[in-house]
Amino acid sequence: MICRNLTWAALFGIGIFASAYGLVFRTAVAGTECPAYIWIDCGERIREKNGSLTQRYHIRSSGDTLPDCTHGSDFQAFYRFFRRSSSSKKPYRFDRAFPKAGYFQAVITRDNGELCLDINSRTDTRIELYVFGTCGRKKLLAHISHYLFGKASHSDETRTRGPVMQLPADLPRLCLHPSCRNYYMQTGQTYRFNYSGKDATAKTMSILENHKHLADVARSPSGIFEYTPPHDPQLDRAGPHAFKETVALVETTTSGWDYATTYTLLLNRSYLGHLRSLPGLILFGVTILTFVVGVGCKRRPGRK
Amino acid sequence: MMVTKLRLITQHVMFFALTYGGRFGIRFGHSLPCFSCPYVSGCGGSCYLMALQGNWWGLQMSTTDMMTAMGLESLAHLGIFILLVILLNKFWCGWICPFGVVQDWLTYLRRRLAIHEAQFRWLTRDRLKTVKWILLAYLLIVPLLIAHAGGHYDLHLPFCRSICPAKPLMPLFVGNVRHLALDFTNAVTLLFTILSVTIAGGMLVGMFFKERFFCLFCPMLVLIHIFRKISPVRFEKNVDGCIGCGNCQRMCPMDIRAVHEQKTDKNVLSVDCLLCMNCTEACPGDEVLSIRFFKWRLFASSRNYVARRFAQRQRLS
Repeated sequence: MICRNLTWAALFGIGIFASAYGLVFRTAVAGTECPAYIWIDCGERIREKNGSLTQRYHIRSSGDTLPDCTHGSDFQAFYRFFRRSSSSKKPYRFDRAFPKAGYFQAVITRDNGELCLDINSRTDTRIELYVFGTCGRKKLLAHISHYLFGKASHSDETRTRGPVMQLPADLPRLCLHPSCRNYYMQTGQTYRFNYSGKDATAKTMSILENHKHLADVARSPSGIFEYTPPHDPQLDRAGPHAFKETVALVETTTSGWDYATTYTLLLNRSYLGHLRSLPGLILFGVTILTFVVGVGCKRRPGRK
Repeated sequence: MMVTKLRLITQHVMFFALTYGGRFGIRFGHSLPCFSCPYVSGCGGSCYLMALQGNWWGLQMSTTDMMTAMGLESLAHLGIFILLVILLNKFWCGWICPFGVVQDWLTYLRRRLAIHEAQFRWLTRDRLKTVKWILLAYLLIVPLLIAHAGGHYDLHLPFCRSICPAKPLMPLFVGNVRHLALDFTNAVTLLFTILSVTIAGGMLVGMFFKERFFCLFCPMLVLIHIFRKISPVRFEKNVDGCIGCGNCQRMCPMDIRAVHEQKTDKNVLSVDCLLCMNCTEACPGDEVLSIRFFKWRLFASSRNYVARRFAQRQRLS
């Protein structure tokens, strides 16, 4: 009887251990499952007391979860600022924010299970942010570049930016042509990307919106990907500061490594695309004519 | 003719400085109390009405932004505006405003074409006086509604984008007709551009037939007038010396009766006055009308001045 009880107890214990081990093992396996790609999503913007702007970025992935940066794969984020205008001759107040070469490293944190990072801008500058990591045999890179309108009255000494570093040389990047770097990227405007990866055979660039595949863009003979985001009526109604995120994705395989590179476009509605000069000029002319006739008929002659 | 010439020179220098100055590195800032339109690319300074309505330095700033350094910056811009208004008061309208110069050009053209000026009934004029107050309320309230009551963001800069005729007309001087286009982005932008183009057309005709027609509706005049009592610029009338000839009213581009009719008050600077000094130049009474800056007399009416001016005109004609 005692033996039978002990046997049952042992079996029960083994069962519990096995299920717990299985659960942990499955979680560990799930944690190291590699997403097809990652991309950067703009989150909340907080205006600090000194007038500077803190932008939160979320690192999203094609899958449901992202591998934890402390387990299995390592994600790193680098950023740098550009002056608002290269023609500006004024000496800059916060020179540390503009290293001549190299990037600052941003700290990636986990908030409610999501990987995110905060970057503070003291002036109106263009930020260029890269997040990259390795997961198994896959190298993932996400890139975003847009303007941050910080207006700090003074330097916040408690906030440090860390040492200036260099990006890994072998990272394949999607670079937006400088002529397309407007204050606000807009629908209806053509954006040209150059893929700077080792593998020049990448023939298509996928366009994604909310995880949905929108279009494939073929590479031109000159090696450029050109994409013109269509006008979005919802965005047009939402106001001039509303934006949507569109992700450009290039996937390649080189020397046994899979590369997935994304570029997040923050698209505002088109500012000039909906302007129609002819109806405006006709209305202007008709108004003038109407008023001239009206004044001519009704006016009381007065002094010269 | 000295004052008229000086005014003309000042007006034209300021027109070119404010319209094209930015191309030569001239920047007078964002707090100017005159219609130097920021929609003119390469302008030398911006009208404060835009900053006042805007979301960087104006009423459309959110409460959280107001608590930051941006709030202080907006106060600094307001401070500069008040300082400029106190310093020069209505001289901004009669001597500096670039849109005023455009109106004067249209008046000059009408006179050259020998077309008589249109006249309003006094009742109509008195009714029109209230419009500028309504416009001021409109440009103050709408940005506040956007910032604090969830108003649609497309309503931002309500005065500049829907009412102000300088927005579509002034960029024409730098070859930009884009502001006469209709914006079909959504219903609000379409409504705003239709209003803007229609008002610009109507104002253009009005400014041609009536001297300084837009100034009848200008909300900046009201803002400037608020500070007249603390301004060192004084427009005074020696009531005892006035013979009641009515020259001041006849020469006034704004048809102001107050100077002629004033019998008791010394300061005759009214809300519509542009300080163009036409009345002072035309007044035949010695020191009846005078413009002062602190204790210094800038210009005063005199019998001799009127006689010299009359003789000069006779020679010219």
